[in-house]
Amino acid sequence: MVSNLTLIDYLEKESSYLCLNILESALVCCRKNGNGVIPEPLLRDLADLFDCRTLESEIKNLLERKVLIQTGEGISLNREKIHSLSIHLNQLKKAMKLTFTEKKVTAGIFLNELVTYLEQEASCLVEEEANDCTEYLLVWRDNRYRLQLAFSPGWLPAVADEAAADNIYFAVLGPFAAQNWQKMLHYYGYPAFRNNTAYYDPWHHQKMNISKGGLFSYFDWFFRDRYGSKFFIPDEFPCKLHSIGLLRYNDEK
Amino acid sequence: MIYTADKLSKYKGADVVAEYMQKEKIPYMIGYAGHGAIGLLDSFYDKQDQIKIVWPRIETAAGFMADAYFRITKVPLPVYVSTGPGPVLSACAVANAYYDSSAFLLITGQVTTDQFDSGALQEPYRQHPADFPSVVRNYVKHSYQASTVHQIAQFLPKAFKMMQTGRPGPVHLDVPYDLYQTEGETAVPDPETWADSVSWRHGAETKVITSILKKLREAKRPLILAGGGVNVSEARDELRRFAENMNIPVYTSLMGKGAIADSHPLHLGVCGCWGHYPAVEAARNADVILALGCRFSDLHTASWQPGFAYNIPATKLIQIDIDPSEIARNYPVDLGVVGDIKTVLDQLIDKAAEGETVTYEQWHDELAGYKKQWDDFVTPYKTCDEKPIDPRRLIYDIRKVAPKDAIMFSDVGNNQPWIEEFWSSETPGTHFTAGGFAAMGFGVCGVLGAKLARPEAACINVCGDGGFMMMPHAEATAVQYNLPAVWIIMNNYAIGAIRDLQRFYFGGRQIGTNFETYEGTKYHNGELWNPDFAAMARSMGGEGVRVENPGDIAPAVEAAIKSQKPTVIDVIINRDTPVPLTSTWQMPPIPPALPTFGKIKIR
Ligand SMILES: Cc1ncc(C[n+]2csc(CCOP(=O)(O)OP(=O)(O)O)c2C)c(N)n1
Ligand SMILES: [Mg+2]
Repeated sequence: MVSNLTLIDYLEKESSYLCLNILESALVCCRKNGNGVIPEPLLRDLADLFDCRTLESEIKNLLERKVLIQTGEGISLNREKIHSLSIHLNQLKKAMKLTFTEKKVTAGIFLNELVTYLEQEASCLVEEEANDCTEYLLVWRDNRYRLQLAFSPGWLPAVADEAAADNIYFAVLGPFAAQNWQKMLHYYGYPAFRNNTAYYDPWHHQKMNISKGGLFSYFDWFFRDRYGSKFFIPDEFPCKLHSIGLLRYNDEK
Repeated sequence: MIYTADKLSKYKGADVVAEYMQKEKIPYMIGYAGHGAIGLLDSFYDKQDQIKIVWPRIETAAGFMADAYFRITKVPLPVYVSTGPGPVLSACAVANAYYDSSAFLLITGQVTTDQFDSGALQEPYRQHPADFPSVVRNYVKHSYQASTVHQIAQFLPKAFKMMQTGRPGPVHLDVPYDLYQTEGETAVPDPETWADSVSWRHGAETKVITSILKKLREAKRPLILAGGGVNVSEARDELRRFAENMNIPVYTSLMGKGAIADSHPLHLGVCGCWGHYPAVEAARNADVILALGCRFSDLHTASWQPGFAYNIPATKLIQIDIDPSEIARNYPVDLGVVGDIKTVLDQLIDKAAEGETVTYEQWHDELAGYKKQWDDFVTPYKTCDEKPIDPRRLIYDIRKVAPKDAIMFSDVGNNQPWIEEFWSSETPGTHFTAGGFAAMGFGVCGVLGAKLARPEAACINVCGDGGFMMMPHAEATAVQYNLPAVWIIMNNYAIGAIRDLQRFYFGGRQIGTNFETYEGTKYHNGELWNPDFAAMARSMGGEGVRVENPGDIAPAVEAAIKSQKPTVIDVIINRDTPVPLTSTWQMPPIPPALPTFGKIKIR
């Protein structure tokens, strides 16, 4: 059995986004369902985001290190690792560096500043949960918003149904644009996904979000007021919405 | 009884109306006769040097003219019609006035009091006796039906009070036509006693005024939104002064267009589906908006889709309106204030003098950038010499030669947003259009009401070929009454706005929207066709010219204005140029279109 120390050592040495994607997804699945199995479609999406071969070899590696386990039902996280892994992933997420023209911050500080801004600007906002500067549950005007730092753009569809059922807006912040996030675009065909989730990538100053929660306007304003910057919408996003039939161009476009 | 016995004497119902109108100093009564109206007209026979009867060629036109007259003068005119079809034809006009908080007194004839429920000629009787009030009640502030001469006297001052106080609106008075010629014991009321002495321009409590100023001063990106209410309340001067004192940028809704001069440095333009990019971009980025008399309609707000025009909330909305039912109708308010725009602005100006002016420097810099982008986009069209004529070139050229204070009425259709986006309204209070009910033909006839109100001003209507053909007789009325208005037809051989919806929302399947000849079995084999509008105008005794070259626009408009003759200028425009979208509009369930100008903002 691999010790916690060797895993952390491995993560720190390799700092492989694919590995972080897999582990984060596995953790999300553990929280979500009883057996913690990573569903096939999520594995397929990860293969899509990176590539099939690399994914297979990384999974093999993690199985060998006994971080992941293979059961009859599929691949899941080794239960013994959940706690330490979750703490460690959080540390890594918080420590991710963000460099702007005038300012350098960690992702943890960035998210914390965002939440503080929301508390100042959005009247009557209530912070219902806060987890280690990586995750917040906020309540504003009778709507609930989960804000979370993330490595992977891949697992958001896995929580969309639940978010829709619980009437929660789920916003993730991470370096997604560099990880082929446009592969996730087809999920905007699903109402639960498009209505309840939002991607923000402050590293690349981009966002993909059509959920109708007013609090998200403050995300843009925060970025503008505190960092003098703007979340742009990648061109592929409206194109995809157009092809799904959610937006139209008049003929001058 | 509301009148003292010593004032009572014998009056015919029609005399009561005529004498009351005289006391109200009403200069015109507009309408169309029938057997149910001549009893009324008769009492105006001897008063024609004080009250002139103006008689266009259809009841709807009469209502549109009176509506336009009120928008300019705030004087509600009586509009007389007969029984049956006349009242029904006037319903469209009364609705048009109601939606835009304009007013006139619609006097409809009814069957005689002893004929109720008989089904006498034109009586609306099959559900309820003599029931025209039920037909118009959705479209008027109040509907009266008199059953005695004395009631006519009682209802008139109430009607005038109601039209002119609070949120203006048209009022209806239904009169069984026997009452016009029946004598009854009554008195003709004095407007001073019954209507004019009402104080209704109420403001807000001092603490509310202080709170509004505090919110605006603490804001980093504040805006003032002038809705139609600023024009209705005649608060244009106060708006400019307050904006200047506070150094806060102003933008408008379509109905507010012209509340401040387009060239004013603080002005950003109109926010709406076909608004100005600086206004729309500012609206979605503002942290506090002070909205003055604005309904936040679908065309103004991108059908309420967040991010296209507005982000309320997060933007904090302070909404002032005289009508509490409009406050928080479509967006939650940070602060709602029921009050008259003019009075509240006066209060704000007074109180603002006690504090200091914030510079909002960064905000102004940012907005200057948006203005520059928009200018760069529109400037080339000013000199565009394409043929068929580009609609923008047409409007820029009209502006070049029209006097600064020319009164502009657009009609409904594409011509309306073309004017909204490209007509620069330089003298406040000179742009008019039908925004809420949006009845085609309002501008075509309204320009005559404008000419009655402001004979000395150049009055121009830019309309579509569809709208013009609904009311072409406006030209005849103009010739008859010597009302030298100018109609400029944006001729695109189509009900263009609707054809564009088919082009852009229905995959280009055009049916029933092009003016074309019928040929063979397939409608679309036909040629585009319209009558010769210029020749029509000439046949009615006015001037008419057809313009196909961009270089001919300015000389034609200049000559028309100078000629002092009613003139139709038929301009063949490029029918395929869509009006640029600066936000969007949705026809559910079809998804919204993306703006043609400005970065898309989807949240
Ligand atoms: C009385 C009336 N009928 C129908 C409509 C619906 N409608 C709105 S715009 C429009 C087209 C107007 O065509 P035109 O006057 O030629 O103007 P264009 O759009 O071509 O500039 C129509 C039919 C209306 N607003 N009013
Ligand atoms: Mg047309």
